[in-house]
Amino acid sequence: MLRGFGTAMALPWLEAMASAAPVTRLRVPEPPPRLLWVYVPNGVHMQDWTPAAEGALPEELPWILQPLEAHRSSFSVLSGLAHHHARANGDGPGDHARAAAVWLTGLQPKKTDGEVGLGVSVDQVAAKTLGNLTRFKSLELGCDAGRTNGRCDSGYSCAYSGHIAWTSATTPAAKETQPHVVFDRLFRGGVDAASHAAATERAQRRRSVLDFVRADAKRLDRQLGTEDRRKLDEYQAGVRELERRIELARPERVDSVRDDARPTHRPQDLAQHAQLLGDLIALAFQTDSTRVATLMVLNEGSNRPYRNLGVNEGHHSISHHGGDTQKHDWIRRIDRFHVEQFAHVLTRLSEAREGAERVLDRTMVVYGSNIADGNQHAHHDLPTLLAGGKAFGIEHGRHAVWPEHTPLMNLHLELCARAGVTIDKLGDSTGRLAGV
Amino acid sequence: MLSLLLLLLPADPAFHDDSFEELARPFVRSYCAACHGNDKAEGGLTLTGYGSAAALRADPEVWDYVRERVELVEMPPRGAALPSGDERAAFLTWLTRELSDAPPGEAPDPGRPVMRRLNNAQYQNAVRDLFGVDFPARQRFPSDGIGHGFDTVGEALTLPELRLEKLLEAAEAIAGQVFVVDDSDDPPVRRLDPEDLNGRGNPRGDAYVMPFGGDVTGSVVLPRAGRYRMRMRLAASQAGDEPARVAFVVDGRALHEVEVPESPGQGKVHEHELRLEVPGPRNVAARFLNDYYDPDFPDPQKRDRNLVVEWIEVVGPIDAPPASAFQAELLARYPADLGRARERAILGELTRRVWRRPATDVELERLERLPPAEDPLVARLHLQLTALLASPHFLFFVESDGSSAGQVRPLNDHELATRLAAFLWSSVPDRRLDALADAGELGGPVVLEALVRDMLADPRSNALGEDFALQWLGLRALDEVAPDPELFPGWSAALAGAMSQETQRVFLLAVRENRSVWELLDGDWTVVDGLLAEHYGLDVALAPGEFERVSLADTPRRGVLGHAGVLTVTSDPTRTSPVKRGKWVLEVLLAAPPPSPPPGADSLDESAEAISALSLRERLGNHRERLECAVCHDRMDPIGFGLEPYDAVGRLREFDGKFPIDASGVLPDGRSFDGPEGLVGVLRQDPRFPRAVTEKLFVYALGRGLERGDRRHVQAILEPFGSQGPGLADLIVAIVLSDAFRTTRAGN
Repeated sequence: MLRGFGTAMALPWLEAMASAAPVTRLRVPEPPPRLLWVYVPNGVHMQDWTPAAEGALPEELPWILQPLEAHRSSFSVLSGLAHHHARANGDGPGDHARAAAVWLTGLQPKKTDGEVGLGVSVDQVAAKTLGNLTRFKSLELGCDAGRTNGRCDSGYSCAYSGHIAWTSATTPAAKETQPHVVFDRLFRGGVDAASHAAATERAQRRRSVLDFVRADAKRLDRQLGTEDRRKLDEYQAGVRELERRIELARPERVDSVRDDARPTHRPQDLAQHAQLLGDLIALAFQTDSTRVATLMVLNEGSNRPYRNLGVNEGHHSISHHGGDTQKHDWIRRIDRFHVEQFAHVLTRLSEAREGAERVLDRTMVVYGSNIADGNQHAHHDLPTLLAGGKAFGIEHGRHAVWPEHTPLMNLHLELCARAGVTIDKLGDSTGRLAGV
Repeated sequence: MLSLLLLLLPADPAFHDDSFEELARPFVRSYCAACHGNDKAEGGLTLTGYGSAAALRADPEVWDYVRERVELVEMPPRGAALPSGDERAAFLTWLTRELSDAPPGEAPDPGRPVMRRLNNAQYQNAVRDLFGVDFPARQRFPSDGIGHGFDTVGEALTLPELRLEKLLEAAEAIAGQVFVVDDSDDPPVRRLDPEDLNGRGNPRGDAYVMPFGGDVTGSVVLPRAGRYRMRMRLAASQAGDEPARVAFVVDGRALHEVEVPESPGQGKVHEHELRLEVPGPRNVAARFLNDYYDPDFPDPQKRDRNLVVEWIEVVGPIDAPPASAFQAELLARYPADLGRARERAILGELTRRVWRRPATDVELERLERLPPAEDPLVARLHLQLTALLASPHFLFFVESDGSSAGQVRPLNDHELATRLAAFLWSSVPDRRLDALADAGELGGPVVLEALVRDMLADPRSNALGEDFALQWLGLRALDEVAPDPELFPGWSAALAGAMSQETQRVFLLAVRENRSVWELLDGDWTVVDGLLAEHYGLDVALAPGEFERVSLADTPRRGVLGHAGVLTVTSDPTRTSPVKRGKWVLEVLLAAPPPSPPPGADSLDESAEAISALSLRERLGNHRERLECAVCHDRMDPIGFGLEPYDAVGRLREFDGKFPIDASGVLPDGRSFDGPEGLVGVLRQDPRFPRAVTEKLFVYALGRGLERGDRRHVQAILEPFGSQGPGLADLIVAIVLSDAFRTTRAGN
């Protein structure tokens, strides 16, 4: 757990507004809205997830959701939402790869082992607008690094099962996994900026280096064919983002976050790892370092055993439970364990304050998986929780049910709209979800 | 223009259609037409009615599919009229040639790799080989995208924004280690104010007040080993009969002691110089040594001694930094009296090395304009090198000379040198390759072959083990597997590391000794350390981490199918998986992956009752009774059964639980075998194995997936070696000498 939490009490968005303002095309409500998506793999044991009735949450929460008891008035269970493009639709097996790829894009991924083809994800669309004023457009975190082994799922590139956030059709947004590295990047200006002076000096040098390489890329661009140019496009987008950050001229060191908050050790286990990443997201929101984040707890199709829960078989293997009651029990224990980590994130977000408000009340959080029952690889009636965002009129403590096969993308669009980002259509969305 | 003309000319019909009439048509008529003729199109497939090779080439999907089924001996099916082995082989050779996309006799299309980025391994090795700097790219950068099984494939090597940020930071850090700028005359100051300090006291206003004995601690990050000045501004409320005493403390160790007689408000700066060897975050502290409290002391002003710390500073390094070996060597070669021309010459050499080609004058002028003119040479080079390392010319393997789209051209020598170093070393060209390329002497086949053999003898080619062999065989997954610790108490990260080493070392020895490709399958030797020897039950005296070649002649272990790493990554945490092992053999060793299971395929019955009543083999047998499962599982499972004498971490065993191991298997084509040696004996006959190795090396070397026309390249590479197959070094040479490696097609 991060120590020193609650010491970071600056009101940074006010600073940003007051300073000789970086140009912005958008009016952001103040304090700012935030969006967070949390993904867990392999589906959920739905029998112990879904409340029996629509309406107010039952006195006794479904077993898997019980760790959220303390947050009962800050979250809701959403049923009936679906992702059509996670289904095969003629592409054959590969439900896990598709599940992760489609969750925030709503698009059918191109089945390929080489160059991927998907589309920009909703968090990245939101980040384009909401991220303009913050040092980091968005934050992508997860406990699993990308697979270093080539084979992931039935002929789908590993890029799909390892990423939920996509900056373009061909570029997954790389996620970070090491908490201390994330801390240094967010609050200490990266690895080598020991002080403000060093950071400022480096920013000057960086500006001239970026000028130089931007010109390099521009010259090179003229020599290349279309496919190669796409690679260079990625490079140039990265250069622009780094330049944006320098032009933003906000201090790279956030001294309101104290050194003793830096996670020094490598996480001992999954719980600690996920919690540390959750802590960092809360700190990043609280210090207005970013307003959009995704936490892919584990890569889709994860086959790790959960020895701490007495589960020695791999999660993916047992998610194909074939109706076996022993496996049902293992799966629901894993599901509940994941929810415990999510509860920790919510706790952090509600402890973090800005003025009189909880950061959680200005943060809209979606938690879920893009598979319902793991045995069937079902992609409808998806396990979905919505938390936080009270400041945007979201009411909680209930189980809301939509007609079967309502696109999950509609939920994403609705939340973005409440955050001030209007998206007409993304993926297979059919509009904004009413009744959130 | 030339290729356009060729398209307009009719191809020589006599040559083709003769072979079509003599070879292809009779084969189809005798062995296919009964089920796939005009009357009866089994599976929707009609194979008669093709009047010429050209007609057949016009339907590549159909005939590709046919080729694969015939090759896998799935077609014609058992019970029908079967071709002899020679007939089958002749038909396949003919079909393969016809289906590749270039007209026969023409140089086949070399393909077009998408521009590749240096992957993490290449980046790390490049920095090591260019500058002697160790930069842990694999830990610092996001993991690489993987395409077609390898992290060398351009289209899968994306460059998200986060990576560019890390690449820029890396460029800064590496340039800082290569050109060490002396800033000791104006050393950086790290000041810790009261709110930065921790201890049992409290920050009060502009000072930290410490009412108890102990440390007032803060943390600083030091850039390098060197001399530093630690300074503290201190005071104390005085009490008792001695002044306050304070120690300078670094990482818990007291280094120097001072007396602090000053009273609060009159604080004084105390200094101590010290040498610190370890860079990185360090804890520094003021240690209050003589806390004092006596409520009965007569003078009420002298009852309580408390330490007051106004701030702590660490200044430095205050000594000149040592130049890097690279910097010293480089600068020594250019006499200092050359003035501005010296910088130009140094910059020219540096750019040549880093960008893997000579720089243009325009590029050098731009680089010269980059740093402030008044900066000293080393500071200028530092910034210039940062830019060189962050530039797309370093980060991408650029292969472009402005040729018009679609045009096939030989690589120039610089591009060729770069491909060679990437393939054989996972690195960039060294000075020797640079010199050959600059002299234009690289292209000839004699020079190339000699060069490749030299490069394979060089330790840098160890990368072929770590990067090629591990990825080909799927052993990077050893980092991810988690055998059940109760069932496999001997499992450890060290053992997993030894398994990975075994496979890398065996592959490298086989390459360096130019052993036959078949020896990867049936070699009766391996390389183990003490841990692995014990794991295998071998009686050799080796320490953990001490690797040596050992004979396995007295054991059933043969080739990579006996490697514990392979057997472990193809198992589940609690048991072996004959299915996974069978699938692995088809996919990895034969490059003939089975299709994925149909939707709704049941997994194995693993209820406690089933496990105690039936052996794994019996349970899998039940599974295969379903027809849609049997098609593939009849191919996979028997192979896996042959490996059942190995447990889920690769140890030999005779029982699986209470069931004795039955390691016999029958393949779909009727061949039967027993145990690992029997299985290897069967695979030893399979021509798909050398082709699979060639294809995997081909993908790895070229950085792109296989295309249809590549079958011809692969065939051309293998043909000269005949049925005994190539030696591994010979195979690598042949790949380098192939058109696909030495030429490229300009992109669109």
